[in-house]
Amino acid sequence: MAVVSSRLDTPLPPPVSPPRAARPSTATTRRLLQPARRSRMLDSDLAWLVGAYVALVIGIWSLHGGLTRFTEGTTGIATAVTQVSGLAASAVGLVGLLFTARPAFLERRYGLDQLFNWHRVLGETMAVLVGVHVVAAVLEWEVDGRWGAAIADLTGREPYMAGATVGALLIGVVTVTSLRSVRTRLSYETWYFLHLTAYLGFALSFGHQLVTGADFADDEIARWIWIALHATVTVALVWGRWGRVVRSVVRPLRVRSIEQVAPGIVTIRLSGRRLRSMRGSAGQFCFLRALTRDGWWRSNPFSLSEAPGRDGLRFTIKERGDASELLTSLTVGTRVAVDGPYGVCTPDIADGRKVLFVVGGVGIAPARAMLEVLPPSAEPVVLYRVHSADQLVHHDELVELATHRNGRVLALVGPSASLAERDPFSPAALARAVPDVADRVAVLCGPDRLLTAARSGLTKAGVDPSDLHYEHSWW
Amino acid sequence: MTPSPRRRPGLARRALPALALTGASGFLLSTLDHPSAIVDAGASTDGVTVVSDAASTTALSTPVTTPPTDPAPQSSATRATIPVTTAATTVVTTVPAAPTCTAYTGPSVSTKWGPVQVQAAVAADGTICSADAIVTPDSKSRSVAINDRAVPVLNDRAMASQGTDFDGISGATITTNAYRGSLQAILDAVASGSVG
Repeated sequence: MAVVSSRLDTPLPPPVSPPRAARPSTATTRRLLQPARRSRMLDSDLAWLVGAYVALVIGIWSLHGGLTRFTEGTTGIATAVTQVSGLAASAVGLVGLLFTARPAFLERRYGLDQLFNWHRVLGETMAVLVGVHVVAAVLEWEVDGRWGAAIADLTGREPYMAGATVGALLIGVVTVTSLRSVRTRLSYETWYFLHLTAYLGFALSFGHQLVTGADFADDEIARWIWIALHATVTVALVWGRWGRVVRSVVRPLRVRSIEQVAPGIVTIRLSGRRLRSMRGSAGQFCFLRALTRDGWWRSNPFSLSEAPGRDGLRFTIKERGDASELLTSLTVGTRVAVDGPYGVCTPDIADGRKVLFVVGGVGIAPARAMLEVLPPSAEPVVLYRVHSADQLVHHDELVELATHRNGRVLALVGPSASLAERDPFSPAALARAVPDVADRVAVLCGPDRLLTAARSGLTKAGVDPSDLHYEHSWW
Repeated sequence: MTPSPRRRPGLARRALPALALTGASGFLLSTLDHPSAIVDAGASTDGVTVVSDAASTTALSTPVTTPPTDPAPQSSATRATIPVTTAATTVVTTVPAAPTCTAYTGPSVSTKWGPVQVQAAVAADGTICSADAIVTPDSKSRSVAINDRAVPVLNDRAMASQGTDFDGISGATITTNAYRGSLQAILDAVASGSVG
């Protein structure tokens, strides 16, 4: 295929080969999965939930001193800061943990990437609060300059404080390894396994909250409320997080076919009986875990590149690291545990309007899947950015699907330096390529740099920010 | 680590940092966790004074209570020495104690909240006949509330454990530590024969 265009407004040529009759992707007779459930959750519901939780925590706090403690001199302030930072750290951390349980009522409304963004913000907040808590506790405990005695008390001579100390250290390690500069130097799995020790940190620091904490030591009702909250989150994690893994492993799908579509890019099709009960929509992604000797302990997310159907799930995977290399080298028949699908960027967001896709590289996968189920009224336009022509995948399918819906595929091919324009997603370039850009719902998928550039350009070109849909590739 | 024909790092290599961290946590936990150790609140035997030489005799197991005979002078005297760790205060109260028990007033141990001072009747062999905190922080209503609850419990625990090796009271840890310090000073003084 010799499509080389350095400008955005270059449509891909029509399919070079006529569509194969056997290709299920464009057939309207495919039996698709039941669409993913929509959450009936509203933003206001979430606001109520958060408000009630905050009110509960503040209530517990103010019933046991609260602000009045700040008036009790400098030592009183140290005690008050210790109390409020500890309580807040625990309260914030609990919610952060809850998000990793991927509760469906939130995931179906806000998407997994949003939950993980919140998890990150809450985790960082908790780490700061834990730091404040530790410093304030030492200041509170110190008597007559005997810092050593205070630290010895707080790190083990007081009941449950050894656990709290180790717990705080673990939270510290988990936080540091999640800093961007450190995280990028670790492999995903090394980071992930380290991240799991946060569970241990939470468990170890639970005891001192109940025994030493001013909020719970003397108040049985508050203590039981706190225990109940922790139990709820634990159950959610066991069921939602690890139960999901177990269910996906117990009922795996199998590799039905695997095909190289470009250098380093393969499509892999999975099928199995579990699909009969599975729900899912185009545009979503799944975590795949190859049940092989060196694959069972890795789970990585990949986008569906075809509307999910009873006949199988298709993923388009680029070989980028150990995990994707493992998947691209699987053989037919291998069992693969599928966790998901997740994501809220589904064809529903079109809502009768016209759609614009801005995709980069293998980010084409969700766009390709959504094209298949969009109505003709969507008149989809796909802006497809790749660095070399051989990386253009699903070319024929894209053109055929788009053309059937009165849409088109525009490709922008070549290294950044070779492009005709320095910013290919400038408002002017976008308006020239897609004259009705401002009327469209935009779906973005690709590397962060592309997302940033496209978001900025589209917003300036008149697309309402609420019409921009994208999910960060946070993995 | 794990030999792999494709040189793809194995589970062992990926999980090693997390396992090492978990192991280190377990080690640290077992090293640090000594919640029952006596907390030395820094008191010395210097501040221990004999309250009385009680001569009457009763069974050791009978708790001897320090009569609340005009506690005002002593507490005001102690309050004047709040910043000082050990403030010797001789109290001229006669305790109708067991014959073998001598009442001592321990050093005033200052805490962030105020001084704590223990008075205990102790036999020559170190048996604690009675113990009570005669001075506790009282400048804050919260301190008073905590100590009203904590002091009787501490008295009981000191008696029950016959020493300072008793569990602290959550929510009143500072008072507990100061109480232990003042009481331990009395016990040390009795043991060394430096008083009485």
